[in-house]
Amino acid sequence: MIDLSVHQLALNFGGVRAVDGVTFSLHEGEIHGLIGPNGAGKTTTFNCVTGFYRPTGGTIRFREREITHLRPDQIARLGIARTFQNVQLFRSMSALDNILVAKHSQMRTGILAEALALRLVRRQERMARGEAEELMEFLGLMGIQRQTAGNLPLGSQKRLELGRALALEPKLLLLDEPASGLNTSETQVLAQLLLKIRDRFKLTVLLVEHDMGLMMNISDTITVLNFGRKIAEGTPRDVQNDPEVVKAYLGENSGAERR
Amino acid sequence: MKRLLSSAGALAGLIGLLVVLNGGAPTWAEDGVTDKEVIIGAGMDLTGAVANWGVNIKAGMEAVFDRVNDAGGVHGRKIKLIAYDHVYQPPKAVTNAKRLVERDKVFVMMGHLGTPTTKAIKEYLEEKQVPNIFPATLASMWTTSGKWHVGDLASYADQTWLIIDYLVNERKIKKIASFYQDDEYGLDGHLAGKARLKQYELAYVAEVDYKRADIDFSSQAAKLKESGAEAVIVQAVYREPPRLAEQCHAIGYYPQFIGPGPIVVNKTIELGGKHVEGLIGVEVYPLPTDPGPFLDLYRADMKKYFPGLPPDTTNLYGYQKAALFVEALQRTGRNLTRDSLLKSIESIKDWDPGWGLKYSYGGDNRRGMSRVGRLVMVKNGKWTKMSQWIELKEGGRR
Amino acid sequence: MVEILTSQVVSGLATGCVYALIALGFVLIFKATDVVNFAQGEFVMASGFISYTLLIRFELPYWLVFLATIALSGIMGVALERVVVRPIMTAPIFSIVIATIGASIVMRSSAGILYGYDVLPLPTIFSKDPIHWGVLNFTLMDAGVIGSSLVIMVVLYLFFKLTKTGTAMRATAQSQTAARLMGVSVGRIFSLTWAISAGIGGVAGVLIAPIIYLDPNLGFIGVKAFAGAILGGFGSIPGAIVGGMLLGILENLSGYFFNAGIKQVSTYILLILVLVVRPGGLFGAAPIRRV
Repeated sequence: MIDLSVHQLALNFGGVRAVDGVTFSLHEGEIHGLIGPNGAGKTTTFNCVTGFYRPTGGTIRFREREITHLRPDQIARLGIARTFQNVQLFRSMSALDNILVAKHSQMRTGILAEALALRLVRRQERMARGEAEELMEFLGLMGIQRQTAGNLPLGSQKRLELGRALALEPKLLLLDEPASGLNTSETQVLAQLLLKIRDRFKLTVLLVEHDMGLMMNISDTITVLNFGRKIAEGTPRDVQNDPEVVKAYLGENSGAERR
Repeated sequence: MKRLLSSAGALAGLIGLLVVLNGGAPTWAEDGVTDKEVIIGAGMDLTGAVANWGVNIKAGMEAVFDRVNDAGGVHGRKIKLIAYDHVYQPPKAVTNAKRLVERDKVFVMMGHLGTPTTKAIKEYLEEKQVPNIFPATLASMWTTSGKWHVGDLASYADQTWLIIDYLVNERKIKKIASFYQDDEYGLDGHLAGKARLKQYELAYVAEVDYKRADIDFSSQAAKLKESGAEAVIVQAVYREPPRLAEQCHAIGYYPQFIGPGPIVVNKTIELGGKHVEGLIGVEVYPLPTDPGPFLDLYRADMKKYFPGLPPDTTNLYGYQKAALFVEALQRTGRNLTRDSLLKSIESIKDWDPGWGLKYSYGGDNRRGMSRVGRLVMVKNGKWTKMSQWIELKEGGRR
Repeated sequence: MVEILTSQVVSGLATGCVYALIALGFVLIFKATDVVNFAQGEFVMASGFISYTLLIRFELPYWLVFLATIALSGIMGVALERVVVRPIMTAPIFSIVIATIGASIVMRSSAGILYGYDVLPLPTIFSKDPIHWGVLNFTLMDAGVIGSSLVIMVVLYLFFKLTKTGTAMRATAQSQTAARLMGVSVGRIFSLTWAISAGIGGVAGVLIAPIIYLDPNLGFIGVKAFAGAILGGFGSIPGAIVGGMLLGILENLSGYFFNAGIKQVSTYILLILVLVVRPGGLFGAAPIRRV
């Protein structure tokens, strides 16, 4: 079954075609990599899927529902979560509160009920806290619940952001360079964690990453973009041997990308 | 060069046109006076800290002018009052005065409200030789400022003499404090009181000031209480005495509050409720509820022209000014100039509009009804007469 | 002497609590939307007139008037946000701030047209009679104002700390992007923030108007509260509360030890001194970014 289908996606920034007719789709339960040199349009694609950018052309469908023109919060509520290249936490809130904000989007209570502090509300709130703690334990974030998010080391911040995305109970998770800033052993731990997450939460993952090792290791399918266009798609092995891809990477300062 | 010539020609044509247009209407020697109209100006506080005074004085004056205009005006001229809002702020008063004199070309300034605000335009009016007629300020400076300024009623200084004499002689109170507005208004009575106390070999036991827009007087209340003053003279308007009384009572301090005319307003009672019971004020003209044909006319005019405004000391204050002004216009006749108007005001002697009190000018007297005052007190939520009319000493003639 | 001083502090604290409530309104809106709302004082003024109308003209019971005023003030806040601020939310911050100044002038003039510029007394349930309590000298009015303000502050604290919507509002204040991703409708949060800020302003209005009387210029009290917010560190909620309270007490004491002139400028002297030593204000970590 197809989870996400992006069809002929296009976005112009003042005459520059950041994304130019990109089409790809994600199957349920797969880890799908999106790669390409700098400026290929990966993050722009992410921003279109999550509603931060409004595409100038094409359609995006999520589980048969068109989401092309929905607001970010509406898309989030449909079950699409993401993380950012530069971590976007609520920096001066506690780690637990960060998770709770996400948990709350699952709660079906209005302001009025809250103002009256109804028992139902209080029970839901207690449940949310319990689940949040559980999630933090799964991610190895025990003991830092009360700490201010902005003060945590980068590795913990990244895991916390991942946890916050998971707390939304998404069906589709978009990860923007989850390994950036991590060392080799941390990256390996992350790879294991991502596979574990996919299996435990039964979700589909769309991944942008510069670390090719990680990409080739865990992706089921890889889509390659260059200058806003799709130039290749397939299994990691297929893509690696694709002459177009090799050209795209060698054509510019390849060293930085292939490291 | 050609262009310069043609524009000079255009300019000359324009000037010529203006001359012709101007020549078409009858010309009078003075600004603001035409065949059918006399335009007078005023600066009022219509939206600020003493707006209750401003709105009502303006209405009181207009009630007279409306009646006179309805009957055809004075010597064929209708009276038109242009009043701008200076919000009780001196800089705004200056701007407004310039607008009135230079753009609206008013004949005189009439009933200009407020001591600090009128003081601010004093020199400007003198320079432009625009008479300042019956300003709505009773500071003593208007008595001694020369030709261009004419007052109407007893000054705050004179009123404060009456207050001190009453407190010392009749109430046998020696511990007297002064609570005064820190400007020309508050200082007029404050300093006069100081001088009068000195003659009794006394002095204020406390002198505390406040600023025009202040709304909290708890520190003043504390200082007054500490001084042990048995009476506090409030050189203030209608907002401050209720609030001060409240804040004094809040710390268990109950002195006799007493003050000059500007506090004698129904608003003071409306704001202060039980906290202003027993407050004493000085009146320098009758209460709006007093008997007399002039006061009957006043009540009828207010009802007819301003049915929304109940009779109050504030609008009566403006009303008597306008009535006195109309009397002066009557006496001046058809040949109306600033000089002739000032001369006819000086000719007024023992003129009683119909309330048992008389206006007199002439000699060095530039206040028509300057020698009379009496005490009134808040009793059961109403300003009530405490004494008969008293001949005032000329204490304030500084 | 001690009694006088304590009474000065208590009545200063009462005024300071009202400053603190208004300052809170400023800070909440600023934190959530980066906008400094200069019509904040006008919420105070308008709610004074609303409660005056409900009490005098409709003769409703006081508690009902209190609640209705807060609600109506909140609605006014949402209206201002939707009509004036949201349509120009993409404009430079400076333009938005000017728009709020414009809104404040419109509100002030409307009140003047509807009610006139005369001062009106607003009834209150709190008595202004003195109470002696050891060295403490105060009135029920003071106690009522301080008590009501503290209750409002505690309720707000619990709301922000414990409820779903409160958490979402805190999150939005920190990162709109991330909050959106969490399914938070940022537009709704903005409206809610304005509603709460205006609602708090409404409480301030009902509390302060009986003390300093009601007139269309009542909103200028917002200037003092703004100074309080800066004193505490603009953008800091505890800063707004402490700054506002400190200002009220300081004003009273400076009036007591010096004269009316010093009292008038004491606020700004203290403000300058604090900003020289701590540019971010008492509780502010970083210098203010905008305005």
